[in-house]
Formats: sequence, C-alpha cells, structure tokens
Amino acid sequence: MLEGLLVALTPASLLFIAVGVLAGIVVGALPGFTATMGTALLLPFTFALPPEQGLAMLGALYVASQMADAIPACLVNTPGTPSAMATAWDGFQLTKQGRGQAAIVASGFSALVGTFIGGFTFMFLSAPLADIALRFGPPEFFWIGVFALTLIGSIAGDSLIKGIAGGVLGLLVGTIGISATGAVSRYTFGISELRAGMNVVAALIGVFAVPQVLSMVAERRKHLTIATYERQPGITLATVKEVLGKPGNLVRSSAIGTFVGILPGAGGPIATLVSYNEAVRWSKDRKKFGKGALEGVVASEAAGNGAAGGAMVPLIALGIPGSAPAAVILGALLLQGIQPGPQFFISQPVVVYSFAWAIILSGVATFFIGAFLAGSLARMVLIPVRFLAPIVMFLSVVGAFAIRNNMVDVFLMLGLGVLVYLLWKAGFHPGPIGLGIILGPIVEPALVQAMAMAQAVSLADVFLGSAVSKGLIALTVVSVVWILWTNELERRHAD
Amino acid sequence: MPTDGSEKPDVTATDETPEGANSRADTSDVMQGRTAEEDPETSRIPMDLVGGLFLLCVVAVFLLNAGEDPLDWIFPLSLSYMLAIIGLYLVVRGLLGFGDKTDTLLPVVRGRGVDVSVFTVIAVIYVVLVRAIGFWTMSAVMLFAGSVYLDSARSKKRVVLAAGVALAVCAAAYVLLVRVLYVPLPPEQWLPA
Repeated sequence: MLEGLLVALTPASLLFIAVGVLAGIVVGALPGFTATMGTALLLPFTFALPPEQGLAMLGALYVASQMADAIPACLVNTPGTPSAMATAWDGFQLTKQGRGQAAIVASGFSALVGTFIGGFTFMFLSAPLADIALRFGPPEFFWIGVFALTLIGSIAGDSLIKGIAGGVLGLLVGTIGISATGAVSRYTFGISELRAGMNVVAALIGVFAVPQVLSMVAERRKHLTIATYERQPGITLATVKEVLGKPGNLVRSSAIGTFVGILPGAGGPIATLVSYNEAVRWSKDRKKFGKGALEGVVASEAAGNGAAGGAMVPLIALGIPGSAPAAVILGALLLQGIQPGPQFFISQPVVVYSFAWAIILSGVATFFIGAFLAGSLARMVLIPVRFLAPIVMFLSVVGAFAIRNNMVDVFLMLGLGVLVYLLWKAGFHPGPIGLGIILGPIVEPALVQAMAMAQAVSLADVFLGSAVSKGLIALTVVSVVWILWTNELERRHAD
Repeated sequence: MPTDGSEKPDVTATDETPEGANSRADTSDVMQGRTAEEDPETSRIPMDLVGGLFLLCVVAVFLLNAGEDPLDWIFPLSLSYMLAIIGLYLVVRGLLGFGDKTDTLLPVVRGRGVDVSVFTVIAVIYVVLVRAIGFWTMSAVMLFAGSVYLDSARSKKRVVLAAGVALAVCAAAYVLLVRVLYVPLPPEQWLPA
C-alpha cells in the first residue's frame, strides 16, 4: 500500500494525474460531455504508458469530471453529466441568490469527501463489498429504481400528483426505441434513428437546459443577467465550515454513493438521486430543498464522487465494471495485458494501490483547482442574458450531437425542451421528468428480466424472495408513508 | 436601458421555482403594475385542466402506437394507463373548479411569449439548417441573431459587438472541441473537403 502511494507520488504520475484532472474538468463542465466520453478520448494515450500512470490519468479524469459537472449545473441549471441533475435543483437556486461561488466550493469539497470515502473503501473493503454487490440481480435493481422514484415526493413541488405524472412521463419517454427483451420497435413512428432510443444525456439537456434558456428569454426584459455576483473574501473557508457543520449528511451521502457505485449498472445518477432523497428525508427543514439548500448540493456531489470510487470495487475485485467510465478503464487494463479479478490485489498490488491513491489525489487536486476557479466561474452569471441564452443553446446542441453524432438527438433535445418548458408553465416540475428519464432504462429491463425469471418460479419468489429485496421494499414503504405523513402535517399546519 | 459594456446587473434571478406558479404569476402582475385581484377570474386558466388535457393527448399518442406482446409492452402500457388516470383526474379537477388557476400561461401566448416563440424559431432554424449549410456557419448565425434579437437597446455598436461575440465563441469552441477534444461535428457543406 505504501509502495502504491510512493508510485502515485512520483513526478510522472502526478503529471498524468494533473492532465487527467484538467481534462476531466473540461469534460465535466461541458454539458453533454460525459466521463465515459472523456476516458474513451484519453484511452489511446495510455497505450504507451506504464499501467500505473495510464490508470492514474483515466481515474483522475473520471473523478474530476464527476466534480466539474456541478459547474454548469449550479451556474446555468444544466447538468454537466446525468449525475449532476440533483445538484442543479439546489445549486442553481443558490446561484440565483448570489451564492454561486459557495455552491461550486461546496460541490468541490463534498466531492473531495466522497472521493476519499470511495477511494479508501476501494482500498480496504473491496473483497467483502464485491461479494454483496453480486447478490443484486434484476429484482433488486427493480426495487432500487422504485425506491429512487420515491424522490418524486421530495421534488414535485406543491403538486404531488403532477410530480408523479412528470415521473411517469419521463419513464414513458425512456421506453422509446428497441425493447431490451424482444427487440421490438416501440414508438419510433417509422423513424429509423429512433430505434436506438432517446439518449439520456440529450434528453436531460432538453429537460433542464432548454427550458432554462427559454425562461431566461422570457424574463430578459426584467432581468439582464440570471443572477448577481459579489466578491466575498473568505467564502471558500466559510463554505467548507458550513458543509462540515452537517457531517452526517456528508458522510451518509458519500457512503450511499460509494455503495450504489459498487453495484454494477447502477452508477452515479442513481447514487446522487438516492442520496438526495435521503438528505431530504433526514433534514429537519425539507421545504428548503429545491430552493437553494446547500445540503442538497452536498448530498448529490458527495454521492457522485463516492460512486466514482465505488465503481472501482467490482472492476478491480471482480473484473466487472460498475459504471460506463469504469468499463473504459477495464478496456485500458485489458489493453495493457492485465486481467482484473480476485487475484489482482495479490498479483499486482502496486498497480492496484497506486490507482487507489491516484483517485484520492485526484480528488484533492480537483478540489483545489475548483476552489481556485470558483470565483471566476461564478462571475459567468454576469454575462448578459442576450449573450448567455444563445451560448447555452449552442452548447446544448453540441452536447446533444456529440453523444452519438446524430442530429435526431438534437431535434429530440429541442422538442423535449420546448415541451417541458410548456409543462413547467402549467405547474409540472422538470425534476420528476428527468428522474423518470434516468430511471427508465434501469427499472424496465430489471422488471422484464425479473418477470422472465418468474416464469420458472413465481412472481412472489422473484420479487420478494431475497433479503435485499425485502429491505428495499421496506425502505420504499417507509419513504412513501413518510412523504404522505409530512405532506399531511404541512397541510394541517397551513390550514 | 443599459449601454454596451456597462450593463449593470441590477438583476436578480428569474423566479422560476415551478412549485411557485401562483406566486410567480402574482409577482409578475405586481411588477407590471396590476394586482391579481384586478384580473377578472375568467381570464385565469385552470392549470389542472390544461395539464390534464395535455397528458391525455400524450397518452393517446402512446396508446395508439402500442403493441401487445406482454414482455415488450407491459411497462409502457402500464405507464400509459397510469398517465391516463392522472390526466383524467386533473381534467375533472379543472372542470369542477378545484386546483390552481394561473395567468402564467397567458404571457406564453402574448407578451413575453413572443420572445420565447421567436427565440425558439431561431433555435429550430439553426438545428434544421445545420446539416444543409454547416455547423459553424449556422452556429455563428444563431449566436448573432439570438443576441441581436434579445438586445433591448439595439445600436450599431452593440450589433457589431454581438457579431464579435458570436465569432469569438465559435473560434474558442472550434479550438476546444475540434482541435483539443477531437469531437466530430457536422461538416461545413460549402467548404471543399
């Protein structure tokens, strides 16, 4: 382990970590550009490098992009990656209150703590946690998705029924394309490009960025810029202290993120959503969430980066990537002739531990770079709306196109954006729609696979058979009852 | 109006928390010098009715194009029926006069809605012509047209500034996306290969 740290601290490794961090910040901050895309872009450069340095660069990019995706989320309500959706809910409200810099610093610090917990978990607890992850099959993933859907109760705003409708609409949009089981075209209307389905990233840009742009345009006569900015000396330290003032939220969110990140296929978006849901549930003042609660930003970002570290557990311990960027890192390992798996910790401990240390060092570097840039970035809100709105639209088109090099994604992004803007005006929160779009591709295949399994036994055995399923169902029931109960209490209080 | 380069952000953010649709409407009214009470009730639109009808239209599209195989269609069909029930519930609520009413939809049709509609048309023209004319040309045109249209105090100097900003954004994006990140973007049709 110490030898791994020494390898990670060599000048060459630090240089490649710096390259990865800078690339990750650029990739994360550009809406539509994901960590997967970034790691894939850097992959060819790792061919000629020793495995320690190549992995360090890819891991650094992954960690940095998970933090930097909060920048556009906080500043212009546009998640840099799907993981930052929950960050945008409160981060943008903080920016509107003139606390954009604090939101970015809080994101960076929470991401640092998340990276620490994820990284050290990867270092010390890989073997037992990987065993637990293997107990998650389709029924368990289905129940995780259902549990995450209860977040609608927290983000629906005043109308729970419209929140549920938005969530269902998002799930429905996610069913467009070829079905995962029977390869049947669904809702493609004869357009062949639609068979590949609606890309989640392009859809999220449509749900969040386009309505925000149109909203800026609608308000441009009243508001020349989206927010104000005042330089506040000492804001970094003050924000860090504020975040540390609620250590429970920070540690819980990081732990949730790490655990969800370990589950193959779940990834950062689910981690941030579940973590945000728990932050709301454990908060004494849940009403402030969605209106500029720093705890919301902390929950989302700590979980997102915890998931980045967590995703390395099944990758290294079992050879199963926990997320799409982890799959690219697996490719890098295989190209180097390294086969990850249970023996990897014993056969090549220096590679494993230097990688873990590189992830942790990347978190530190990302935080300091982010904190250094936060003031300048927060000044972006002073760009006049007449310039900002077209620029965000331009970046939205670039992001939607770059995912699959497909203009249909751009058309869908724009169409969905206009639709969500009109729904927003009719009182439907965009949050549940985005939630449904993210969870659809996880919930439906899990449901269908579980139903297929049930043909051999029974529905009850499959869906209620395991202890994990029962635990998740109990959590879901508690969450729903809690939402209904608190809503009733608030209604009585208002009366 | 503010002049070029000296725009002072006397501004706050747009109050767009969706849960505050009514408060948003009221704020907008107050800023326009009228109160909600002065508006005749008849001019206010029941949000639930509009939302419910919209959901029913969406459900109709999805149900009319659905198939029958249980494993492939159980999920979208269940969602469609759920959405239909919610849509009907909202329509009934709206018709019975329950639920919120808003005038925030009216400005979408008039006033601010013109800005939104024009900007949307600019965006649609942009994405439709990207293939035919070229990505960078159309991006520069959209950035220029968008910022000129959204400028409340147009002047020759500010139009030149808008052109400069459009070109600068395209140049910076070109260097970052094409030269550094190697992102494939639609080609310029009018340039030789």
